[in-house]
Amino acid sequence: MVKRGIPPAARSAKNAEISAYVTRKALFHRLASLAAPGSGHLAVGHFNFGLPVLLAWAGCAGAAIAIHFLAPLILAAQPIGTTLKMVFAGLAVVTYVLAQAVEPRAPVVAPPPRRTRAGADQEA
Amino acid sequence: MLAQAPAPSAPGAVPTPAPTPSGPSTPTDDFGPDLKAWLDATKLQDKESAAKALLNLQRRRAERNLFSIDDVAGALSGRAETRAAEGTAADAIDGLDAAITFAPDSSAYQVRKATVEGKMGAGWRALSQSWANPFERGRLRSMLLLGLLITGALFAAGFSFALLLRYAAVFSHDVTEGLPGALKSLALFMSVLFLALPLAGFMGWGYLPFWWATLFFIFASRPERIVSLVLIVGLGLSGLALPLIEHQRAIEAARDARTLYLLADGGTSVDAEALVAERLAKDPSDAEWSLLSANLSRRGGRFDEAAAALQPRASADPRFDHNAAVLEFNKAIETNSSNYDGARPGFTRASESASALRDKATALYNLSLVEANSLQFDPAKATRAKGDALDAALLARYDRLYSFDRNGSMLQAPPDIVPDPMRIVAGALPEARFTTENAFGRLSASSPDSSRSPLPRRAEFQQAVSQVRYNFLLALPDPIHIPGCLFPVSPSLRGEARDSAGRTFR
Repeated sequence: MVKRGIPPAARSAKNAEISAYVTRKALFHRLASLAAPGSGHLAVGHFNFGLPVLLAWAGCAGAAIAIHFLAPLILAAQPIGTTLKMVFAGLAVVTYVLAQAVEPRAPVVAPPPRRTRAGADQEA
Repeated sequence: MLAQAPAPSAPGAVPTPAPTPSGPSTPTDDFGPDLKAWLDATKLQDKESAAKALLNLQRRRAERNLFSIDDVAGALSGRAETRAAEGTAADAIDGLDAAITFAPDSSAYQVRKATVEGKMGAGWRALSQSWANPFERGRLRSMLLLGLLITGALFAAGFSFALLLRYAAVFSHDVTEGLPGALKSLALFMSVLFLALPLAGFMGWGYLPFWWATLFFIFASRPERIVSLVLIVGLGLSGLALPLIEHQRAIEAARDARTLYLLADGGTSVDAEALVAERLAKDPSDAEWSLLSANLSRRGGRFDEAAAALQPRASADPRFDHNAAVLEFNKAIETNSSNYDGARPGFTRASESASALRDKATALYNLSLVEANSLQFDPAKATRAKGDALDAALLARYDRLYSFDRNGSMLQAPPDIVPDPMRIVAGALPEARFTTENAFGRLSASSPDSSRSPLPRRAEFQQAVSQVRYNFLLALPDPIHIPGCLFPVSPSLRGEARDSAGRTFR
């Protein structure tokens, strides 16, 4: 029996397809991170990093927006209003930049245990 | 007027006759001459005359038992802020201190002072004090709720978008597998239709994140499922938060409530007196409003009118008895008669039989003043100690607010018993109530808030599907109303108001 390899043209097409898929996927994750920091990480399953970042960004951005647009004078006036707004906006920017800087990593899935001859004999 | 500690009467002191204006007057009318003197003195940087004018204002305020005079405080604060803008911050702080004295419950002046001084601690103190004012507390609570909703909306959008990226392909594959062979060409269309079902059903884009969290629930990992559940439960709870925010808007719009609160809290205004008169005309037997009306007469300097309102009920209600005794006490002091026996029985009876602890403490405070002025110092101390045991903070407030200088002697004016502010305001505040309309029926076509939706809706289609929505989505609020609540923020929600001349101030 003659073992034939994959034709070079088919191999090349498959590689191009995989490459395009990986590029497209990375682009989506980047776009997700740009829209909502942390969501790109969540999208690949990097839950332990993505969730806290998304939560911190949403909380800080929500607080800064609420203080700027909705707070009554008692809270919006200087120096409290300005300081709180700067602190929350600063934290939101920090989490945003952090989400862009840290590359999303998919969780490593352990390979299934390899069957050995001894194990196969035992099963038999 | 009374001396808390025995003070020698000035030999040249001339008793001041009680003013008897014919009708109600505003605080600005009564305090106008002294206020003008203060404004002129500060303009000319004459500190001595300014201090004298302030002492006169304080004396008049103590004699009238006015706890809060917002008009006077506003004028003082306005001049102080002008001076701060001119670059003389130190002078501005003096003016703002005076404004705080004349409106101690309004944290707005304390915030302005903190702004001029640039002190963070003063700002925090003002913020913590504002929780004691029900109107300020409502504004802050409303803002916190809105901030929480914005945070939740941002988080839900980000999280659901991540779920979409992660599981859309798996979902599409499952849809393809589930379709029979002849319909497999429709797989992509069916997948997109499922994912955009809230838009296809004209429910609004606000549902999309929650729909995705629900749709991908079976594919999600355990932590993702927990977060999805929290988001969906949060969406249900937001249906209760939105009516609370709208209720706060109704409170802001209820001008009578604000006026009555100011009145019940020790202020006065012609508008408020008209409200009280109207209320009393409806029910002349109402003791709370009668007491408030008598308080207002005294605050306006109409002492005879106050006495006429108090005397008929003095035997039936110890609070009326007490306030009538206060007027007797005033007369004794103004005529330098040193005859306090007319006031003592009323204070004694009120201190024994008043129902509220606050009223008992007030009566004990005034009784201690009578005893001190009668040179009975040990009984005066004992009576004051009893009052402090009941409500030390209230008596300290009386000491601070109703003391004034007359002819070099520090005197203390006797405070009135006032009705419970919230009983006076209660009828003027709109009632908060959760109904199927405001909490759970936000999807129905008859919802009055539908006009605020940012998306165009077709009335005829809405009519057709409203019953279906109501049946299937009864427990869900409409998230597209959240932006509707956010952006048309009324000036009153931001703490702004307009005066009669149309000027906006905060």
